[in-house]
Amino acid sequence: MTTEDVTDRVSNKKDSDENLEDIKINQPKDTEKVKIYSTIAFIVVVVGIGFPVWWKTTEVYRVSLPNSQIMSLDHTTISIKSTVFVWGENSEVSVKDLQKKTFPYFWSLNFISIPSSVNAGSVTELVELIEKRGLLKSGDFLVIKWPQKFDNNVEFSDKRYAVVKTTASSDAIFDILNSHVLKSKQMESALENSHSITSRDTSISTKYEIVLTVLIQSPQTHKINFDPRKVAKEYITPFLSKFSTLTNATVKSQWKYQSRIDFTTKKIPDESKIKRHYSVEEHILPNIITSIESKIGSGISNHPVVNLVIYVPPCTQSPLYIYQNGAKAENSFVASSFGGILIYNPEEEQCIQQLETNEPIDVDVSLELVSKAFLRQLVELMNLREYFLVPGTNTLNLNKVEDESWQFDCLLRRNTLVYLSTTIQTLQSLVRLLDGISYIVINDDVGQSIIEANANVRKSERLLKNGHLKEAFEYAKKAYLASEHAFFDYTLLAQLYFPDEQKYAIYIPLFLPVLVPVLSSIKTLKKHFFK
Amino acid sequence: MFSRLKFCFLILVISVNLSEQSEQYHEELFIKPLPNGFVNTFFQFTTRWNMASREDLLHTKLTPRPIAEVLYNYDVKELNIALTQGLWRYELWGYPVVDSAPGAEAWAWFNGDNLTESHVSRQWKDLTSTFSGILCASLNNIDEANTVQPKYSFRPRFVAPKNTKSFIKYSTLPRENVCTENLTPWKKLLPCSSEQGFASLLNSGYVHNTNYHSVKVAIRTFQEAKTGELTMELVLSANLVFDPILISSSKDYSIRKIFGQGLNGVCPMSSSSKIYVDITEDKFELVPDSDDVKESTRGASTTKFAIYDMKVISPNDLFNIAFVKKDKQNLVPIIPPPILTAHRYILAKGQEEGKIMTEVTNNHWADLNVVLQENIPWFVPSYMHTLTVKNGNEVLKIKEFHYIPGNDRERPYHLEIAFTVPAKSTVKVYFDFDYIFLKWTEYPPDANHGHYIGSAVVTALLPVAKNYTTIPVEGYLFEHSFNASRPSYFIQIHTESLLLSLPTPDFSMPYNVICLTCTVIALAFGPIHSVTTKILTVDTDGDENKGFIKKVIGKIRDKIKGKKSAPKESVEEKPKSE
Repeated sequence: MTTEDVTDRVSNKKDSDENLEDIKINQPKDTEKVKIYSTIAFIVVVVGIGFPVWWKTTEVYRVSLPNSQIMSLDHTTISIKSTVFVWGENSEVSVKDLQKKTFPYFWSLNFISIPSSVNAGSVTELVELIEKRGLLKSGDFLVIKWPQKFDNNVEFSDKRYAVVKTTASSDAIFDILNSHVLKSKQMESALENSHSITSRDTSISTKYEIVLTVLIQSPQTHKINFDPRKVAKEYITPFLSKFSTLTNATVKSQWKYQSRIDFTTKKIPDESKIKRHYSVEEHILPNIITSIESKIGSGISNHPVVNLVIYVPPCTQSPLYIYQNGAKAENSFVASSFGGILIYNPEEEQCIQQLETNEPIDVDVSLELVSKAFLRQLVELMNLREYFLVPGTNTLNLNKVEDESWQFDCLLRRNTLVYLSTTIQTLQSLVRLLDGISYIVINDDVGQSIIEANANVRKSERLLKNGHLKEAFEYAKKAYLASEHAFFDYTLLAQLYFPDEQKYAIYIPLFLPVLVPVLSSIKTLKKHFFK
Repeated sequence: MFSRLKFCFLILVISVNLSEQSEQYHEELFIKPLPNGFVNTFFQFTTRWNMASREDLLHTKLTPRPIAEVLYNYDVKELNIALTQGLWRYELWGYPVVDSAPGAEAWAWFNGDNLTESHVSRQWKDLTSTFSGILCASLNNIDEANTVQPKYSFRPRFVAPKNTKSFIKYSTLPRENVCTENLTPWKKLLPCSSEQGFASLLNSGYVHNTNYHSVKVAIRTFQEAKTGELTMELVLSANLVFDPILISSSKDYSIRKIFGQGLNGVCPMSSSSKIYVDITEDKFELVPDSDDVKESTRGASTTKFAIYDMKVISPNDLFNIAFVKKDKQNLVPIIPPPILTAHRYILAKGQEEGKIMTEVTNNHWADLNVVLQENIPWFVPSYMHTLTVKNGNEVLKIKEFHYIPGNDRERPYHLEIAFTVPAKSTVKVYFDFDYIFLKWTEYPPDANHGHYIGSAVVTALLPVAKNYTTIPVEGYLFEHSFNASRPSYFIQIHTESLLLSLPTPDFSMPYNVICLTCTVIALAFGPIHSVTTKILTVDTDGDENKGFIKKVIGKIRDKIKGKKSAPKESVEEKPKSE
């Protein structure tokens, strides 16, 4: 029932009273004024005080964020400065030619020819001489045209230079720079496809764990002579320590006994002494991973884990081979979010003996073989393959990487780009989310992280533009960590379980009886002032 | 006596062979027919690992990886977590090998370089959260508001290299329900899966049919100061009490009957695998019988054990031991009570004048010194000026007193008192508390069920080892308790946990408040608003006697008739501007 109805009734009732005419006539003008004032007072109190108080007290806490700044971030405007020095015969011409070439949009390359007055007896001496002048900083590169005969067109060094023939054309140098040294394709994909990289991706996470697992199904009959500690200490840790600027890894190992792995194998008769082997088809491999994953257990840290598993099948099921398109393939495989698995079959003759006598056998696992397989898998899992390929070949050179090498610059550049584009995307989607869902809380800590991430992205971009690669990487990493912290902070969800609909259920019965008479009295005011 | 109680563990000499880098795993099962016809089975899985340095913790073999990582990441030197369902009846069952409080109980010792109180608090929080994941229990609910730091009751069982200060944290979650979801992850900590070895007997369907069951994870470390060599000891134990009559409807029982299946071999990784059966009472005939019978004399009481070495027996099929009762007569057993027992209950008049009463009974012929620890949650405001320790009408002297008053939502009330229980008597310890209202979000689901108060811990050094099966502190295998006579025997018993029903509000209250407020506002605001802002006018239209429906119909008719009625309506509008 609205108040109009109420007054309607009241007036109707009073109508019957004969004295009512008098009341109406006797009503002084003041009374009406008072009524108008009180109407205004009601509106002022409700709209002017009540509404703001209600709004302020029920507001969702949110630190003010540089939204427009964040939305204006754009990964396509990133530009990377790098200086390429050319030394040798006709270096000025080469530089002029190279300057005319078009490199992908994100490069801002600076070509400088080093005068032939700088000279030395050998390439190494020459490089030393150039380095002494303070050139060849992180991210720079030197092309030397050296009058010497190679089999290859180009010889890459372990440092920041490559030697080409004196006759090498500018096109050839352009090709070497673009596809090998600068790796424009990989950089572009790092910049563009970053949305496919998740925070669990080991290639970009700043801290992770490598767990070596030895899986044995029947420890009573197969005694495994293998020390995963040695693999960790002598092979994997030294390899990873080269990347300590990029990521921090802890290497752990564990043994798991009586782990029956469930997957279907096929018995295939063959010519060997044991007269058979078992095959596992490639499409079954995901089943193996599921089965192994439940066996290897978990640690207690929150960092992403790379599992490297060595599985020794029992003699009743060995030798076991992975089949790919009907042919034997390599006995190890890699699953990107899980890790690598290696199947290590016991010696054939030992197995024949074991099957006959049922006596326990010693399985000697070759440390070197396993370590190399694991290192290869690690390179694959960390997305490092392109950086260790000897250009033009299919072999990996894992010894080459040093802090002051062009490959390392490449890795730094790639990770910087991935961090930057991921951060930009994270921040922008967070801002969009905040615009869309009004009841997400942004507390001081999260707000600070967002502001920090935004500032660091800008700093990193500026440093990259000015050719300070290492510093740019540091800031990009900081920005990335800050943005991840902000995006995954649990306080964002604090009020998500109390949606707007429930608020209406409380506010409507509370406000409707107040607002309807107040708002309808506005009509009366209008009539009074604009009659 | 008290100083001995305090320091008896500090001067313990632990004979550990640290020279050899090795990892050993032992599985043991102790079966004890209890005096009242029940049977107690105690499983103990021990892993001992000597390592050259702390870094070796990262490379595990028989030790589960999460446990090693806990020791690597935190400064914890000793950790005990027990999950228990049911109450151990000391009067009927004697003392268990390992005692624990109903629900979840956890305590840990921290020791490390530059460790401060705040570090320890943070690590304790992280540690319990980690184990909450490892054991699928709600240990993450352990925080500062239910953690105490015992001063007298708990003694370290670890050896740290430096003479630095150690910190202890103790907490209980008496409400915790222990079930299959805890047993399965607990079994996963064993090196052998549950297919083989003693773990194959722990089938959740049977374990949870018991009168009492308790699983425990106990870790301690010994570190040598000079070499940095470290020994880690992980003991996973399961203590179960079965009622054979419920299971097999006779007083005879067997391994197969109580566990659902026979013993499936031994764990190939184990160094030893033994079953011990207590045959002191000689009430049962064992089938198969064991040739290996050992007598253990400990503190003037002799116990006989039949030992089955499963490594030697190595059966081809499922191994079973049947317990056939020798004397078929139904005799009511006379059970000699253990030396020290304790009980606890609440005294109150409705929800007023609350009193927590703890009774400690000494059945021995000599006086007994005990330490009583009370861990009262913050929502039970207790008044320690009312604390009374009485033996009959005689007020006893409190010899040591340690009390940390509670603080709402921050700290529990922690009381530790030491006193002497005279021979053959029961001492009553009681104090007053208040029933209070909590904030409405602090009530648990099913608030009328009540709030739990964790059990009190009574610690004492027993002069005799009657009913006592605990493994001595320097030992780690069950057989280390054989002939382990000592001047005194450390015992820690737990009382019942209490259920306190606090005044509980009506939880539909917020809804009622909203409804009431809205109604009041609607009823009050509307009339006040119209009285103050509207003017009464006379309606010249004569349809005052018409009902509401007729009026509405009339109005609609007017509308349909069109403009003609418009001026009339404007006349009706109120208030008039003039």
